[in-house]
Amino acid sequence: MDQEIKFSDLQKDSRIPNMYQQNMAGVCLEWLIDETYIVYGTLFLSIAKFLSAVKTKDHKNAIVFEDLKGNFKMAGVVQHHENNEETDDPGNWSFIITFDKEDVSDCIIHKFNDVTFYMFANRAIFEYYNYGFEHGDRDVYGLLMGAVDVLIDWLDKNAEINGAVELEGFFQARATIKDGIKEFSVVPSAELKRIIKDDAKISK
Amino acid sequence: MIRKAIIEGKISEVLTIDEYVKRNREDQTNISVNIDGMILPVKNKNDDGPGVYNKVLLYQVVKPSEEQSSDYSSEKMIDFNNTNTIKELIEKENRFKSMEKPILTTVNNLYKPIIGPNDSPEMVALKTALLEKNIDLDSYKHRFSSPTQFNNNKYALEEETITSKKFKLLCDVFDLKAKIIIDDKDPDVANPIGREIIVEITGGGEDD
Repeated sequence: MDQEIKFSDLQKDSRIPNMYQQNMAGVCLEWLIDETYIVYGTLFLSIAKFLSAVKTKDHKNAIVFEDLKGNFKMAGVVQHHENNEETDDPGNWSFIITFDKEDVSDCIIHKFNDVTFYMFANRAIFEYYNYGFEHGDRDVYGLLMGAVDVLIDWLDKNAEINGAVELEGFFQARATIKDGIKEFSVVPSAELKRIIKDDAKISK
Repeated sequence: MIRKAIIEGKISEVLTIDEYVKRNREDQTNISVNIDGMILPVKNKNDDGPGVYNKVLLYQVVKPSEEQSSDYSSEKMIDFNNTNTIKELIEKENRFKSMEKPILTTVNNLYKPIIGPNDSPEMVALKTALLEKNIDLDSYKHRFSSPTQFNNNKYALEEETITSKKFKLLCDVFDLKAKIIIDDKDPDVANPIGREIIVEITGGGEDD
């Protein structure tokens, strides 16, 4: 029987917000630690909203996060699964977050540092939190990519203790070590899957 | 891009979100942002109530409650950009003046310039006019191009002399009409003009 996982709450636990603040300081940007969860919520909400908008039944679509050198960091992937049985069931949409570049090899790729994604991020932060990016698109890349970097860094540092963190309503992330290899996973919340679902069943 | 509204008893320039994020952050006074049909003033961290608050790299929008919503409605905004005819422009200017009047006539801190023995005649005239208007100088702050301009001109009123350019600017800001009259020193001078030449230096034009 699986041991119950204890997720730390990103909004209450200061470890990720502290790391995020240090990350911002590294690029000479001041940051208010209490606002960190807003960036993470916006990141995952805009991934879901973006994928919901670009998804197609005949192709997998991915929103890919890369650093400035083009190194793959993380991606959100949406895929439609046809129902094989002869029923009226319209099929399922799956929505995953992956750190494995192989998972996007057969996808239509959308780069996150594209102005279209920024538009979704701007809308998501305002609609959900009543916040906005103070300098418009200028800081969206740094703020969201910083969130991805810090999440990966946190998972890496906490793999040995099977670290797990969640932001309620958005995602749960875990890190483990299997056969000496660190494994990270991020599971989007049911609320985000519902955004993807739109016109079919939520993926299981 | 001129849009104006009176929000929380102050006249402010209204920006779109796009204009706000591209704006120079040094000057945030008397600025409001038009968001979803609401005109929300830009505030700093020590303020409270509805508004747009800077949170370093983010800004937070605090919306008004249902009871407050009419006070922040975009219907209070006068948009001088969408003006097609002169008639429309005049109507908007008149509407704005009537909105502005209660603010200009509210006196919290009566301005009393000191007229000194060494003040130039122009300065005496200007200070006397301002003294007799019984105004609160701060109520006119929004008429200056920036808070810095307001402060600079406030200090200029403490001087003994004033340049012609600044004199005209201040007359205009404070709704004063100034004229120069040129006449013969004496009717018996050689080559007399024979009449008064009166020139309005604030509004332009010549009045014989």
